[in-house]
Amino acid sequence: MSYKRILLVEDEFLVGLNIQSTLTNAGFEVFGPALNAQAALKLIAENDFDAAVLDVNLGGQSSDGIASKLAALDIPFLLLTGYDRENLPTELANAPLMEKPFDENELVEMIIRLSTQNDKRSGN
Amino acid sequence: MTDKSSREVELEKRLKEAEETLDALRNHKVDAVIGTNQVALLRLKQVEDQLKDQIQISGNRLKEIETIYQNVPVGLCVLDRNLRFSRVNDHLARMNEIPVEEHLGQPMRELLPGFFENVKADLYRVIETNKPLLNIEVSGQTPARPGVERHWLAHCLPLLNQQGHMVGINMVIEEITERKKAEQTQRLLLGELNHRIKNNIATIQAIADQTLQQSENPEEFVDSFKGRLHILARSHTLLTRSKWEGAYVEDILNKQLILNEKNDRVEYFGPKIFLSSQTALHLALVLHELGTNASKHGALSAPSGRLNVRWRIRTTNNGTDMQLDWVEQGGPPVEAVRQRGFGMTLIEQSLITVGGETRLHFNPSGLHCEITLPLSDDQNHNENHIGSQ
Repeated sequence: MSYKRILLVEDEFLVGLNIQSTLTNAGFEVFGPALNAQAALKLIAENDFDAAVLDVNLGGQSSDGIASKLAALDIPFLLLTGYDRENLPTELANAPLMEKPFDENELVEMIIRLSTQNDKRSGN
Repeated sequence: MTDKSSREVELEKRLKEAEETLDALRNHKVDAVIGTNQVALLRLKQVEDQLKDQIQISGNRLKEIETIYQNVPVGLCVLDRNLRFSRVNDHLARMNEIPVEEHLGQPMRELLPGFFENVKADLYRVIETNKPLLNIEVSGQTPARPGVERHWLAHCLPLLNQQGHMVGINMVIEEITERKKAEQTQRLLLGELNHRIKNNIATIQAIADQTLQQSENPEEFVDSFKGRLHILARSHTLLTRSKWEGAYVEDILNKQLILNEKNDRVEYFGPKIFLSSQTALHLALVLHELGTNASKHGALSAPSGRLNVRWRIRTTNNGTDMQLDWVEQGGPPVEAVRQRGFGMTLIEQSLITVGGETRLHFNPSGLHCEITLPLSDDQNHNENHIGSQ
């Protein structure tokens, strides 16, 4: 079994570093952290992903463009945010959400669930 | 003749007396009539004066009420039972951006359709129940500002005539668009504050986790973590002073860092550069790590070691940036390998978050760290003169 490939989009380097090490230790192959939408979209264009972790606010900009792209490619993603759900842009309001500061085990569980979501459907 | 004449005289005398009496009588009667009229006239005059006073008082009162009605900084109008404007004050006319006279006789439904749609149910209820309805929040658009959602607070009071019959509605309307906007801004700010706090906690969580992974024992963890937490706290203090707009490079170096105790061996020099709060925070973290390293293993761990920090503004085709050089000299021999910890990762990579870059050179003479940070075009805080220690 190959490693599940996870895209990580997080503009705060330290937080991104921490998520990266958490997911890497849990056996995922982590791409990123992409610090902005441009870097994230480039990674999406160049790689296939099983799931993504997406920070809602990227240096003051919403990550809804990345979210639309992921949704179009049928890549499940988890939103990581310091916002309450009511403050989320409407495009993101229905996506699975984890609030910062996050619990490592919860994060890993959620990513396992999301990254295997498409396996069942395609019969892999 | 004498008798006759004396009799005549007597008669004449009597006649004269009678005439005089008649005259007197006549005169007396006239006087009495005149007297009665005079009393009546006097009373009439009094009544007239009283009336005039009353009219004056009423006039003054009316003027007073009119003045208040016109000048009170709140929209006022009277609607008849068909909900046509029968009276409008200046404030409401200005609010609607329609002159007073263009209101009069016009149905609210036609003049202010957007407003009317949102308030009509309440108006009908007041007519039906004859009871006031207070504090109705109304939102809608006005013909004067199409596309702009405005908000009002309205009160509807039944207007009764002297017989107690309802003849219309007295409306009090206050525009609260700005207040609503302020409330929304406050909600957004609270959301943003909440977001920042949570992000800060996430950063602290990351620092704790990473510090733990690099620590060999609990004491080392506590030591490193405390130092990092401390620098975050001190940077926050510095930034709070500028209401989170940012901080000067010199202040970050000067007060917030390790330099306070070893000033004689530390030199720093550069122009006044104001960094945005996020950039300042990240730079403070990096400088803290560099300082800790210098004290533990680098130039400041040896008595002869020196640290020189210089920064300058550089303008390139890509915009303006800040170049900072951290140069250690005279310390123990540099070993590149010893530094591959979380501290080094922090130094090398955390400025990427704010678009910056860090390059480390492990020169034999000492560590040289080059930092590049983009500066916003808006550098009002910066001055071109050189600030130094």
